Amino acid sequence: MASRRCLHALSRRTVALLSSTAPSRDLKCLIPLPGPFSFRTVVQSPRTAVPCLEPTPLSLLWHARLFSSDSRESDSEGEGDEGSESKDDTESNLKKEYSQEEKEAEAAAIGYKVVGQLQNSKRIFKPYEPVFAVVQIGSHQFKVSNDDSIFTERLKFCEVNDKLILNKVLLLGSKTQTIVGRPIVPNSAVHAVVEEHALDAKVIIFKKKRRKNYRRTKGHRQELTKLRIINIQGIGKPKSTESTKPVKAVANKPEKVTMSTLPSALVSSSPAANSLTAAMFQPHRTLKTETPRLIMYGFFLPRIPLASSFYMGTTIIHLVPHVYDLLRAHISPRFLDMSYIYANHRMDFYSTAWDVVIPFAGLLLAVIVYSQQRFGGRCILPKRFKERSLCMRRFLPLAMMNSFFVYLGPFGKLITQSEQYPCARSWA
Amino acid sequence: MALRGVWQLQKLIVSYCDWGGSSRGIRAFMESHLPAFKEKNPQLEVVSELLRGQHPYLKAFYKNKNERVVCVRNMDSEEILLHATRLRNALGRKVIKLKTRHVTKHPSVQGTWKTSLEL
Repeated sequence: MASRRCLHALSRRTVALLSSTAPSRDLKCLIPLPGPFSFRTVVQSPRTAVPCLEPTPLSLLWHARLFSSDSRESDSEGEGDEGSESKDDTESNLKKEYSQEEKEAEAAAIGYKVVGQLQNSKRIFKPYEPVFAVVQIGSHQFKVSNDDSIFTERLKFCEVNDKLILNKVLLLGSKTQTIVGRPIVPNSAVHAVVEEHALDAKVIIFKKKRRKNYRRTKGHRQELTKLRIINIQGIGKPKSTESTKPVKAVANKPEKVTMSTLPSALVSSSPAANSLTAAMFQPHRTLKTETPRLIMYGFFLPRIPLASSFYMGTTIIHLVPHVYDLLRAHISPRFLDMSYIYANHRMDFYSTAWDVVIPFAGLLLAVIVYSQQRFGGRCILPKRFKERSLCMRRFLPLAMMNSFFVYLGPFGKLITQSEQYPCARSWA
Repeated sequence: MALRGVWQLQKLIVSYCDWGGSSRGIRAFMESHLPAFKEKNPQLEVVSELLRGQHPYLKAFYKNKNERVVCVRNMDSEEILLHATRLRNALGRKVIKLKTRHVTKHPSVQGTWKTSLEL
């Protein structure tokens, strides 16, 4: 059978040679080779002009490729002389050599990634930012954020510690904004770093057909790539300074500054403020009207750019009772019935002096607020704080100063009042 | 295998036998591919040990104190290179089935959806 196949192939070859422009001497060397055919027959290709009477050792060695079913067409495969012309080795299709363009094209088409450069510095791993993106790799989509890990199918053309750019971004989102792509968002990119190429755990594929004596077991380990997301571009990210947080809190609760809402809105601010809110919850009757304004000034001082008319208006409103007290001190009638206990100026728990001090303290705080908003938050701090960038900690001194003002107020009142009216109480 | 830029494979022990036939591949690997492998990974400490009478193996030590042993008996040098590369590419984590393909610490940016949410 094999010899018949050889003969058949040989006859085909001779026909091919005859049809091509082969010199006649080739034919001559073909014919005088009779007898038992081994696989090492000598056939010259039409290209070489070597006289065929002496078979060259190369041609002896070059053997059954001619008769194998694989390479019918390529004569040049077997010959070592013309190795430069053959590009791909048809024997092993596993190790294909890709050119650079083919690599990039395939990567971009299938995996939606472009390989950047290897990692150089370690400043790449930023902390978490509240921005997410929906990115597609191959046929899988992931909702990624900064500093996430993703396991995808093995990405062919990247090594460990390579930077990738995933450019098929379907959706971008942040806390305030969402950008929907149709189907992808242009001018957006997600940067990632390849962390590992590893094999998944083995899954055993077991097939059985009962009562048919059929049972197969196969093990499979999927090749995975772990990517770590570094950066998402294409959407505005919120700044990480504290100016953004209280703005949002106040935007929700515009002008209703009550005791209940204030501490809840500013729980995230400095710990001094938290202790202060506890101190503020003292049951002082007059203080209840004052502390909202003072707290407002004290806590919002470094941050809130509220309208100045707001401050002016509330200051005026809070000044009115004090002005009335001052007037009442001089205009009230000499003798009043005991039922008019609150109209009697001399029965007041708190002295008139505080009616002057508190508005002035408020005015002072208002001036501080104005100067902060005008000149930046650092105008009051000592000079060594001025050069550094704004951050939460730097406002603690200022907040402490203002909370000092506010804190002193009620306790100072208590002390003075206990001296003046030791037995008077106004808890009614 | 680089967790945040830090290579996780610290040491690779190439253990072979100079007499046994199962070590033929690894002996060829040590002559042909091992120097290039060492050049490509300067951060890796590669040690060759002679262990007579035993089958050859590759032992990998990772930064999380994990050891992985791959027996390379009767393998070609290309296959051994593939295994060595795989060991280098991997983190030292335990090979178990993945729970999720997306590992994150902050699952929600705009707030988790609730039935009472009104947009």
